Amino acid sequence: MPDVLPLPGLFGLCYLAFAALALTVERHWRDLVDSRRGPPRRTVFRLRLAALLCIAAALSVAVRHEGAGFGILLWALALSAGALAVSATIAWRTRSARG
Amino acid sequence: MTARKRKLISPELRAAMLWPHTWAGVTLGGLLMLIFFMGSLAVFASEIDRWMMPDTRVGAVEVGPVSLDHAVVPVVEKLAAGRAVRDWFVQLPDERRPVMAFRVRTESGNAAGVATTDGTLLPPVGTLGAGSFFYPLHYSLLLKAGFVGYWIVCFASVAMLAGLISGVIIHARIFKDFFTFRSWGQFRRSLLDLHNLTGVLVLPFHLMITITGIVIVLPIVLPAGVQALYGGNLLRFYDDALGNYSRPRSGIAAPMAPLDPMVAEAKRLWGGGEAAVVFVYNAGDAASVVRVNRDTGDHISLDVQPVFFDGVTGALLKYQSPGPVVATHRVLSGLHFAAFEHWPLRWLYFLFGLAGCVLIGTGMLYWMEKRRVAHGRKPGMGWRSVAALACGSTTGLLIATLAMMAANRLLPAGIPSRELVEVGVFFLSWIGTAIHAAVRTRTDPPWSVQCAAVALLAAACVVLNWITTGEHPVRAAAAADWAVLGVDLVLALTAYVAWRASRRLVRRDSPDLSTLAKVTDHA
Repeated sequence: MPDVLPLPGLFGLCYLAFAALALTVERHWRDLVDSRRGPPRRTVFRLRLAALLCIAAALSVAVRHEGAGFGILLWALALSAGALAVSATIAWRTRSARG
Repeated sequence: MTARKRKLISPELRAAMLWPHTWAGVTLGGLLMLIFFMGSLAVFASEIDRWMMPDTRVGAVEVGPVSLDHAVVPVVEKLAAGRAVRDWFVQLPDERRPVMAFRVRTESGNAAGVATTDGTLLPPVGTLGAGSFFYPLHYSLLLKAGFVGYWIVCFASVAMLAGLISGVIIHARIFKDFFTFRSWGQFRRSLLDLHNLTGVLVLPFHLMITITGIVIVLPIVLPAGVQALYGGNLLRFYDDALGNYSRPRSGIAAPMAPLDPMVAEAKRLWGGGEAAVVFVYNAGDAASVVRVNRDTGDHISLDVQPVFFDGVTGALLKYQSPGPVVATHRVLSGLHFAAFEHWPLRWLYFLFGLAGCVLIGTGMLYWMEKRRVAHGRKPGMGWRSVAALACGSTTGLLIATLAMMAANRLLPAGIPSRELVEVGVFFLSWIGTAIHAAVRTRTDPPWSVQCAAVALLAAACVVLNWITTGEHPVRAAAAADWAVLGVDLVLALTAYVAWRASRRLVRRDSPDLSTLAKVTDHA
């Protein structure tokens, strides 16, 4: 992993991971992608795989940049921050649709 | 699927989890709010202290080695003012606190003071600040006698832990509605969404912070081991467990050895790092002991690796690395204290601590909204008590904190026991808000008035800091005084958000009871 902007990279990866996971939730898929039907099985599998890879990559970035102790702590908290940011995004995107 | 999918969480389990969750939340919610809020402030205690003690804003110093013999010992003598010194300690300057803090115990009374790195004693700070007021309020409620406060806080923490786990079981639908926050439409549904979001998404942090908080005070709240092995003598236990060293005064006067070589020797033993605190016990006595603590800013563990020297000869007395259990305890404590130099982590701790406040607050609000269904337009005594409690522990707590910070800038420097007057302002305004909430709660607590008070007080704090110290945000930014700038910006943000909230609350219609009858959601 290149040494540029490890911190935004870490938060970005966590955000991407939870964004992918959020799309596997039927409610959000219908709201954001296709209102007629839920996510196809293969897509769900791929999204989950992508999320897993992002989370693993985030851990690797955090541990490389901060060392094991601080890295794991920062990674665990960044996951929460990413998840909160994803739900804020979803609330913002769907609010305009529902008023 | 042939057989109906077996439900992981049966209705019976949920019902069994629901009542303790509800009762713990309704009865301990206010206390937990105080603990979480003050804990969040404590993360930035040094920064708030700079804001509340303008004399200590001496700008970033080159944190070079401070000569203890030349800069520190004369200050101790000045503080003692001719009285014989018993014990003293000095907190050496670091990145966040550019001054040295002293505590001196003499034969007749104690003295405390703050001095710059070159040994100039600053005028008395006249405030307890965040480090000596908000922070102790967080872990002991200032009830130190008999560790009563520790017990209460620990009890509330265990209830928090139970609440976190039972909450995941009760609100089982959160997994179906993961990431969902419906900010539109029904108020009650928005509350529950927010309660679930903060409860689940920040669950790792909340579990960690609650468990480590309990672990820190374990020797106090689980005294059986110390009772059995040390006859209940906590000091002797700490001597053994943490590698401390103590010995009684001999009564024979003896001159002190120079301190700087001891600090140098301690640094050699640590193999790097800086000294953070230097203690001198039994000063001027033949049995004097010098203790040097390491700065823990560069690692998570709170292990201060104390090194003990003979105060007269300067010989090494004790340096013992902790055993595995104690080392674990130190790491867990370090996770909680967040004493490390790590700004992203510090902000995350602060924000997630406030997320805990949101979790507790929305829980109480949700309970209130639910109970409206049962009570209709004329809520009973119980409902009104909880409503007043919720109001007093959210906006009331904010008002009390901000009132104390405003009093800190308004009170003249010279008045006697200035720090206690500030504490008085805190508690009186808090009691005032609680009474106001209790009296004014009819169909709703006086949210909008108190939000407006929060906004005005927060804005007043920024302006008062500007007037009394001449340091407005732009100048603070130019002088790279990030502590003051940060506190000012958070205050300004608080003022803005509270003002917006207050305006919206005024415009909000009184609760529509026709929709209240419709039972939505669960729990």
